[in-house]
Amino acid sequence: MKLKDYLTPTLVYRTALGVSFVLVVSVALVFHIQMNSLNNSVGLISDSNKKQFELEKLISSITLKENSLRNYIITKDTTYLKSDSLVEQNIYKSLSEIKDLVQKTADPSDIAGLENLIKQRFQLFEDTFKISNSENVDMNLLKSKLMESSQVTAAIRKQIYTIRDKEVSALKIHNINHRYDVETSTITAFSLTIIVLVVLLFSLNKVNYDFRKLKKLNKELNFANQISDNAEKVAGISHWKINMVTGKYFFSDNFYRIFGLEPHAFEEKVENFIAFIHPEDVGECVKAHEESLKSKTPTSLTYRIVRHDGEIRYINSIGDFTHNSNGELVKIGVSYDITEQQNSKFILEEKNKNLIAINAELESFNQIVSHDLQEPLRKIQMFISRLEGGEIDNVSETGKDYFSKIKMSANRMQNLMMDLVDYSRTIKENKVFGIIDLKTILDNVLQELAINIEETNAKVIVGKLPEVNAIPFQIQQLFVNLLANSLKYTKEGISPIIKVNARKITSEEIINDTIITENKYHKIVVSDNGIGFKQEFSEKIFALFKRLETEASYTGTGLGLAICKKVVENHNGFIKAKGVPNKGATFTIYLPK
Amino acid sequence: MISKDQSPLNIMLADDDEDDRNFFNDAMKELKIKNNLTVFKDGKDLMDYLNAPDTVLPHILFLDLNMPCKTGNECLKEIRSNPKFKEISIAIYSTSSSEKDIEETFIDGANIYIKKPNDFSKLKKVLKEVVNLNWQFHTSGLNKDTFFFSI
Amino acid sequence: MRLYIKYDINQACRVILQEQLEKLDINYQLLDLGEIEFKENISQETYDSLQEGLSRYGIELLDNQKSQLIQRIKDTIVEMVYEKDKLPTSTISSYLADKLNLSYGYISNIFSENTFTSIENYIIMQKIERAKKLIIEDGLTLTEVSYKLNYSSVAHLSGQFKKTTGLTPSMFKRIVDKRRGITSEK
Repeated sequence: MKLKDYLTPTLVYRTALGVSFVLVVSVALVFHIQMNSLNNSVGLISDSNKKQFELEKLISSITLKENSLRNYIITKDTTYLKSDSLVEQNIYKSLSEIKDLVQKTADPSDIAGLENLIKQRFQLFEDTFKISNSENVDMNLLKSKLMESSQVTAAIRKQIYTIRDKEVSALKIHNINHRYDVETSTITAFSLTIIVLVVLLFSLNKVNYDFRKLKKLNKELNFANQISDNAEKVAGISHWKINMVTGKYFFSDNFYRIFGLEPHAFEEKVENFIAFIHPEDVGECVKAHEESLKSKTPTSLTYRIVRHDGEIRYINSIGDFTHNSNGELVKIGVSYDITEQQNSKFILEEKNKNLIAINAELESFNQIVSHDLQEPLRKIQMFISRLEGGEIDNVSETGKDYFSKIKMSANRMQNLMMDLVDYSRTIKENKVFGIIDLKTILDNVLQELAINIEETNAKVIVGKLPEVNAIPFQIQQLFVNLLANSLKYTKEGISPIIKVNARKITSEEIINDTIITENKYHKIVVSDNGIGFKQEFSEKIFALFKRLETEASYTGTGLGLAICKKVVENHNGFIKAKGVPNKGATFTIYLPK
Repeated sequence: MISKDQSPLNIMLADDDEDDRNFFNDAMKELKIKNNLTVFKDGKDLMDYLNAPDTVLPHILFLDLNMPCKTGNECLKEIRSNPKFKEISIAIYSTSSSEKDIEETFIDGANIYIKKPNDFSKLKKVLKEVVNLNWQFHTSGLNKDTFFFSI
Repeated sequence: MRLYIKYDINQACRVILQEQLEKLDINYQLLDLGEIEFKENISQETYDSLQEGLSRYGIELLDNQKSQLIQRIKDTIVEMVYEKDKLPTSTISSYLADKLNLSYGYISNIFSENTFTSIENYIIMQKIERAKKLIIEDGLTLTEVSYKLNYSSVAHLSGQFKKTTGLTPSMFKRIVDKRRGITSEK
């Protein structure tokens, strides 16, 4: 895996390039060397040929001189001597040439021998000449000299032939070498050509490939741009660019559409754009824009624009600085039309204001009920009790009965009002949620109902309870009401036993189109052994002011369970009731986790 | 039923409602506890009287919460911030039964909270208990700072 | 209806006292007003009769002995509630009777007459007072407190607490904490 990471395409190509370069260079070097040796071998051959030629020339020259001399000797014609010096010159020239050439090859002793022989011959020439030119031609001397001459000439000829033969065999070797060189250099030349061709091919291929890839990417880029353009159109978003170096502005197609115009309806100059900004917002916008260009800080602005048809739109514009591919600083940003959201926001704010007003009204209503209504009621009850303390003796039985009824009604009214106050508290605004331990809540509840519990000799069993996210005073009210009910609606003569437990939700239950599962909800069950109720009323009992047809001895206002339901609803939970007449009642509470 | 030889109880009541003042007065009378009852119609009068130099301080002060000019709460805070009135037991006498209100008054320094009963005999019973309890605390040297009674 | 009796304490009192004391054959000497010296010890019975006789005239004997006894009863109760770490298992009546060497009936009567509250109530008052201390100063939980004060359950303690003070123990604690919070801010 590591190796593969190293073998990036760039590295591979670079290596291949290097290798081919090295290859080409080395082959070229080899070729160069071979060319040199080829040159050498050609030189050698030509040298050899030249030598042979010179040798031949030498022989002929000597023969010529011999002939001239002979002719002179015979004829005594001096015209044959005219070209003598020339011939001598030629002989020496050839000899020196041969010497030069021979210096390159071996065996100078051969040449030295030849030289001596030639010198000898020349001496003989001279001697012969002298002899022939003397008054008394010594015929024997002449003969011997001529005989010596022809011997020497024969020796010369022999020497020359020896040298020539050596040359010939050397030439053969040179020819073989030459042929070899030619062959190898051909191969080298050929391979060089092949290598170069191959490298060229590969390069071309790579270039082609890269080019195709680039074309494909370009096509994709174009396509992406198109999609982006369309997306902008659909979403009402546009983008823009300010090149800080060139000072050029760029607006995307949709930018113009936001202004209600066709793309490129106005020249890409900032003044044209500013012209559209709402007069109340333009000052701030321009200031923020210029400042951001100076300090290179990002901007986020909301402002209004006025279209040509007078329509006002809300625009949100966010921009930040970055560098483009040329390294120039650019500011790029997005502008989008938030008119819909802004309008919704205004509507929401209006509604909120309304709600706050309603709440305030409710609050004062609460105040009225809890105090101003209760005052006169209390007075009524007080004065009745004063009457009962004394004056009532002056009243008839019917009168006494009436008073008692007045008193009962007044009491009932008071209970109702207090329950209403409790109920309105569950609707009120300040709902502060917090993580609370239900065990603590139940402890408080038991304390609050301690007197009742003792009076009825009740047994309350509280199991392990979880922590929940809830409004403390409301949850406490919930359990107070439930337990107070259980303590109230007891079977005659039987001490109430109340159990409060948390249960696991084993199978999915569906309540009001919501699926209740263990990981989403808590389940808490409050059960008692009281008088229970008929299951057909299990929904009705939660209704406001609804009481079931129970004995009049059980007092109640019908608000307790309605309050429980409201509390549970405030927490996005559910409450269900199950009752068995004369056996008991079970209330199940579901609270979201 | 406190013995005659004991000095009379000084009680003060501040309540703007005439009927309530009458009820209170009548109840105290029927209780046969020797007492000096002084009533005030509003908080300002009460505070002026208390702050006067030669005033005999009450043993118990019954304070209605809803009064014009100065509310019971304001009086409570003012009294409790003055060490001169440290020995006075303050009983808040109110129509409200909201737990929050009750807690608030105790936190602000009240000792007793009485929800105005709606029955005369209950009122007598309440007053008797309050007076009795207050006397118990006094004679047994129990801790005034933790003396709370809510009825 | 209230009855104010105005009497010449000098004259009327002396006369009544003399009458009552002689009726019971008590050897006495009247010292300054408000002081009688018994020349000899008298029985409780005699003493009670004397008191009964005098009380009809609205005269009450300020009996040091009595108030001392009351104080002793109170002290014993306080000791019982506070110093023993757990209240005795024997009934309170027998405990008090033993400690004070008097019949419980007598103790009970004397106490009620002079303090206008029953011993039971007083005991409860002291227990709750101690519960308050335990909750605030020692920071004990309700379970611990109910155990220390010999209540059968936390519910029992809470019930009595609420009956005595009108507040639940947790409300009480909350109030004290908040009050202290306020003073510490000052």
